[in-house]
Amino acid sequence: MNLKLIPCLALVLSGLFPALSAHAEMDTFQISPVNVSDSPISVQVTNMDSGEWFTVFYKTNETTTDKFLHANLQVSDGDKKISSVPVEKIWTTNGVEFEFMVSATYLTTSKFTITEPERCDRK
Amino acid sequence: MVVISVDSTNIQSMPFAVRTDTSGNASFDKSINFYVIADPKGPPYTPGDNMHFSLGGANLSIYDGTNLVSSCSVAGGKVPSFMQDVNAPFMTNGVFYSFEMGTNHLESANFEICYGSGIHPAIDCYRFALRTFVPETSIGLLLGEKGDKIEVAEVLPGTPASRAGLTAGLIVQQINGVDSARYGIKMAQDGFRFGIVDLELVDPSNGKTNKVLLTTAKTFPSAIH
Repeated sequence: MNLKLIPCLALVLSGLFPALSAHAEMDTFQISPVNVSDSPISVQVTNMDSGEWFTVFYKTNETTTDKFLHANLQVSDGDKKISSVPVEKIWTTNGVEFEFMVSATYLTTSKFTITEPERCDRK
Repeated sequence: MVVISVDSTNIQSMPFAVRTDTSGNASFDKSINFYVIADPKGPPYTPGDNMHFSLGGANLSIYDGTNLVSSCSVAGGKVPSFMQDVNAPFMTNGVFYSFEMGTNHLESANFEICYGSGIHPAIDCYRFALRTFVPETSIGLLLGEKGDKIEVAEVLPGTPASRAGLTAGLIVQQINGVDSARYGIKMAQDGFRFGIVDLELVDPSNGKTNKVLLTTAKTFPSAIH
């Protein structure tokens, strides 16, 4: 698979909320509060006793297929990786939801990434 | 929800298999890849019942002591052909989970596989600690105390110690040229985890003293199947 052809939409979780700072490089988009409204992503964050509960909605189009849509949650402690896990997709009307919880302690160093090949309408 | 704890005593009868891989990582000390292959069907409560995976799911929860670090449902897929030593039904019909864990949080990371039924109200969740499936570096000896001496309490199968013919009951007289009494059990056991271990052992049945030189190797807990 040619990675250069795969646009990635990345959320950087920082602070108590997904204070989403952004930059774009190649076909990778980092989502922030500034550009999230222009992206196919919406994020809900609920404060729970044990951490922040994230519900990320990714709007799909007619070219989206389950086979090639992937999401990954990477949790780190400073520069030490704690885990890197593919997150289950929950297909809903017009899109896919992802749910996960991250402790506030590890938000600044954790990352959630959605990968979908050849999403031309989002470039 | 019925939570079934999985450990070395019951792993063989579980509807899933676990493999670990450290070869793709820069350092075994930093992270480990876990592969879990689950049977899509769980054991039924009654004949004709169908405990199915799609009504449950798989979840990874990581803690720092008692505080939650993260938790999420893990995405599954088809079992890749590179998986080895996996039973045929799992290879054909199994659901494959692959994730990477840093070794710093293995002690308190749990993986759960849950099965539900359309006609049975209970959801069965099989829970296991990832640490159970991590390869250890050792010579394969477990120690015990016998009076003021240290003895071999157990020799783990498939390890350097078992290959050298060591048996339970041998008295550990010296470790790397030092009287074992100076180590104490914990320090002696820790000393067995790295490098080359020079042991002087006494067989109490005949009083004979033997010396063995053992090199530590990666061994897996007997829980793996």
